[in-house]
Amino acid sequence: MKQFVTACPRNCYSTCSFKVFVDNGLVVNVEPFSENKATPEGICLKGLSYVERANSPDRIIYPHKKNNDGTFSRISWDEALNTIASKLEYFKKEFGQHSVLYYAASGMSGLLNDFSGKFWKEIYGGATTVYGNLCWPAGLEATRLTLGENKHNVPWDLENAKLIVLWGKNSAESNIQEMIPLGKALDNGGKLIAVDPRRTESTQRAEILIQPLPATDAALALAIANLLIANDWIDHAFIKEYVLGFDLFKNSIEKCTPQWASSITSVPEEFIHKMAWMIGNIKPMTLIPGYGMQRYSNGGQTTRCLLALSVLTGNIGKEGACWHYANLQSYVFDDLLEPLCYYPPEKPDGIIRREISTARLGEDMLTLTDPQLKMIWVERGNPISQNPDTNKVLEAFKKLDFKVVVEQFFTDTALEADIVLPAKNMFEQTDIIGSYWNPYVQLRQKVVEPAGEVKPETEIYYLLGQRLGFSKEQLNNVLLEPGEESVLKYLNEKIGAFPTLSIEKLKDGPILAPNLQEIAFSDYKFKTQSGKIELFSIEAQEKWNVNPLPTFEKGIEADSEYNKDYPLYLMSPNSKNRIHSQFNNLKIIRMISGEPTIQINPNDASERQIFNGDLVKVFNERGDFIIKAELSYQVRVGCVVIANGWWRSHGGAVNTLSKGRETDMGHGSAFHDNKVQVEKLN
Amino acid sequence: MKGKGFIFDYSKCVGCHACIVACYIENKTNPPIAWRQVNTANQKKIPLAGFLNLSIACNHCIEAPCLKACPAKAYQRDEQTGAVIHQPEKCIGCKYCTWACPFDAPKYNSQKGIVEKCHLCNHLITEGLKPACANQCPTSALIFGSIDSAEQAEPFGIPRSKFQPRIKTLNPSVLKSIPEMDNNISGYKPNQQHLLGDETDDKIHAIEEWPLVLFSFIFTFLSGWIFAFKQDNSSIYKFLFISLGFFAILLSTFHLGKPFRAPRSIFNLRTSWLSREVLLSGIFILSSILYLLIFNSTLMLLLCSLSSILLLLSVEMVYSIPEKKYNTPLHSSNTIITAILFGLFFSGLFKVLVAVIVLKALLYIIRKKDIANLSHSWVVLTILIRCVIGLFIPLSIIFYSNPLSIKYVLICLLIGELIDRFEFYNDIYINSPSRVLYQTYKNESK
Repeated sequence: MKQFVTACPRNCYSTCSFKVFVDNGLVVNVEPFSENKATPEGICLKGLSYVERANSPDRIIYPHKKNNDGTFSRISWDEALNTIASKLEYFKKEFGQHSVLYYAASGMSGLLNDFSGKFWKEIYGGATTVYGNLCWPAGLEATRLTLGENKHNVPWDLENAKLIVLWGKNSAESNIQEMIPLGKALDNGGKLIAVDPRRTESTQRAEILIQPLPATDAALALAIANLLIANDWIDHAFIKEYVLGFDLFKNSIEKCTPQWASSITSVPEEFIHKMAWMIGNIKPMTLIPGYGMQRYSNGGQTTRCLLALSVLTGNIGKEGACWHYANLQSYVFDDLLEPLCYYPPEKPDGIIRREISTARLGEDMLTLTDPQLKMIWVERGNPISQNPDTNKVLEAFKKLDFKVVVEQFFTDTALEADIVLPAKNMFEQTDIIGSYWNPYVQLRQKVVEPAGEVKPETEIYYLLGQRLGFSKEQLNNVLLEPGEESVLKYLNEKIGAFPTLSIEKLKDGPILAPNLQEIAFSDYKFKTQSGKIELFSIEAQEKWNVNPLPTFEKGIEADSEYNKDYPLYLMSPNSKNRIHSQFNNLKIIRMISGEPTIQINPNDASERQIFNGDLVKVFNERGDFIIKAELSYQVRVGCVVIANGWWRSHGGAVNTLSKGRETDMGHGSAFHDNKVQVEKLN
Repeated sequence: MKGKGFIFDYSKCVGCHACIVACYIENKTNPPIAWRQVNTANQKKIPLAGFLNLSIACNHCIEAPCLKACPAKAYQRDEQTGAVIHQPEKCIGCKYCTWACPFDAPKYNSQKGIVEKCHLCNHLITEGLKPACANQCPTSALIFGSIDSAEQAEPFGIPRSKFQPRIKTLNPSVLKSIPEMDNNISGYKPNQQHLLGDETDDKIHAIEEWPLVLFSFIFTFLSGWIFAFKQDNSSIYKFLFISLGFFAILLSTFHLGKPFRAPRSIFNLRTSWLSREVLLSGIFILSSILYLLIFNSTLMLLLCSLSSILLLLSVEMVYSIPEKKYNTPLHSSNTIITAILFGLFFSGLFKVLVAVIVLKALLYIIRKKDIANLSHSWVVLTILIRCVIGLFIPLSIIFYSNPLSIKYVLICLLIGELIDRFEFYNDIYINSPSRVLYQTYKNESK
């Protein structure tokens, strides 16, 4: 049995290092790798389930084509590639290369993903792609506008905090390793405030649980800011030295009283007072906002309001004190960091047409002209269930002439494909990955040969390039020659600029990011236009047409006047059982996750004569489906919860109900701005 | 001195289920069966009460009840590691260990027809490694270590027992950690509890256990009926008696997951009441055959009665393991009393019979008064039928009907007693960590 160190490449905070054991060419076990200080204990249930996932009989390990009756049949690589190549040539000739949409999402991280873009740009000669992102740009942009950069203290610094505010983050499910330093901080006498409409697992040891209505967090934050200033619980020296726009901000929130915030958030005033006292008087404070809040139409401004609390109290750049949103310090190889790389180019190059918003994928695909879309290529993503407005995305897919999906399993999106190509898994090709929480550069090692006829995407593109008439010499200039040798050569070149990094060392375990600042902003250098922390941001106004100050804006659907037919806020948080839509098809995960349910407060349920276990219809103007009701006080009155990531084919694909809509900044997706009605099924 | 065992920290467990997946990977368990489970207190997050998770599998007790109860000697202890190991090839699938264990460790695999259970990853710990679940826990809430300390407090959140489970629990006080929260927002109204559904499972349900109900009822009846044959020499009845006996034994055999391994069920006479019950049922049937067909003597009848009393005693001992929802030491469906009832009937001692019927009525009322949920109409109906047909009508017939319509008395008694026996299976339950946690948070929230 052989043993390797590798790292989990999922779109997840933790990005755990772990050991993997290989026997007879198969992945047989995984174990903790304790030298990563951020993930010193075991990997989560999903990571453990890689043993099933890698060897699952359901895995796609051969190219498939769709038959007339909707089933799929195995075909040869020759047939698959020749079909795709001839379609590509045909569409380019008849409609231009922009009739092909290249869509990739966050299914697997790694530097080699860049070659996909290179193929479309430099080999095929262009394509249509998307701008924006499903996840976190609103919060990233808000942080960038305020602090200049997205970085935070190393995860293990959290144990130094005396006050931790988990604001809309459920670390116990989405970042379980964070619970280790969080627990230590509480064991050392620290306090925990949880702000969440749900009473999550992470709130178990909280001192106080604040449950605002969704999309109203900014009002809560501004009222607290108001109290901090009124009671003089702010850090004057810090503000004077490092903050731009304090006086303007102070004046702008004079009317943001607890009474005002209480009427918006439904949080009682006494709770706002208590929370303000704690934030104003317990130091150091680490404020940990989740990524769900900024997926509302007011997400960027909301994030700026929350961040103002860390700024006013001087909880930046110190041990145990930080704004813990995203730490991009390990992305040392990227020329352009998030969120800037998500934005459409100011001057299009004419080769890549970047005119489809990720948030409005379905709608934009349908309305795009000159040329209209004819074909889509999907990799590392499952847009049917994961992008907003599933029905619209499905409609747009069905209108296309030809669809290619590169996948490991028959997801909702793969089921729509004309040709499905088998995707590599994390054990079948070496790559380097960073993390947005964990500050290490890690090697995701190739530990087994690809299963069946699986080929890494880099090889698929190379072979496709050959089918399109390019010579090896031409392709070698742009793409990666098939084989692990060229992968290692490329990665070696990438890390050449960093003396502390080498492939050999990375094989033994993760390495802290070069030039890592363990305590972010401890040098008090802020890469904003003014060089200061910008509470007042002209750039915010110029770029996004929002108020230059952090303000509370009503969420579009969260506005009670929006549509009275749909009175319930639908929350779609991530669950510990999945990374978006990955993992839930596995036997062991399915056993644990059970069946899709809608969580509803017993108060709201009894108004609708709904009992635990009843089948209910959940619906709004975008769509509807039938799902089992789970009565629980875990969710506050007025909200219902369907966890993100259920497949359509399993029932409960929550984006059937969400609207394709951009956030106020950053071209994020405001799909949490979502109201529904629930009815008992008779 | 307890050696090594599981140490579980309530303040660190967030209910992530990684331990279950770790076990699945290491031991190739078949979902939906899992050897380890994560129980919760206050899963519905009822406000004004805390919540917690408990990951638990087999505790490899010093005085392991599964090992004692198993009639087939399918359990064995590894003397070196102390692990209590279930040997699948010896299991007959009687599920009695799932009753004996209050920690819900043995799991019945209906596809394989046998029980399976955590073996402490014995193959790993003999090499000095840790069990997979403890090794892989992402928050180190579950670890494997020494639990020798003599002053160890009673483990929290698991059923109290004399079995000395090798588990230590830390920081249960986290259950008392209740965040300040607003009741209007949380929507809490105490009168809504019924909407949430019940969180506990009795693990014994009359409907599912009908072969056992019939087995114990038939032998109870036969124990009384044997007295009829002092006067009655009808060969039809003799044939019926013997057939019924064999039918009951057959029934109990087919209740097993592995019927062809049935002979193993008498392998553990030394400690298993189930083994004794099986053997004594055979002895009773054999002696009855001898009495009915060959030696029709009073001495033989006495021998039959003796074996039947021992048999019924072992039946009672088998059912002493489940917890009772009622609070009386003696209950109306006690097999010995029921056997006496039928014995008196068949001996024609109607005056004493009346006394026993009255006693049964009293015991029945005492048992039911605490536990019957009269809000369900079917519960009320069952109780009524049991009382009217099983008690009231037989008494009326005995008192007022002349000549006695013996036939009807018997039919009524049979119906009444059978209903009582069925109900008895719904009035008992197996204790489990999930039940204890449920009770614990209910007590806390009061």
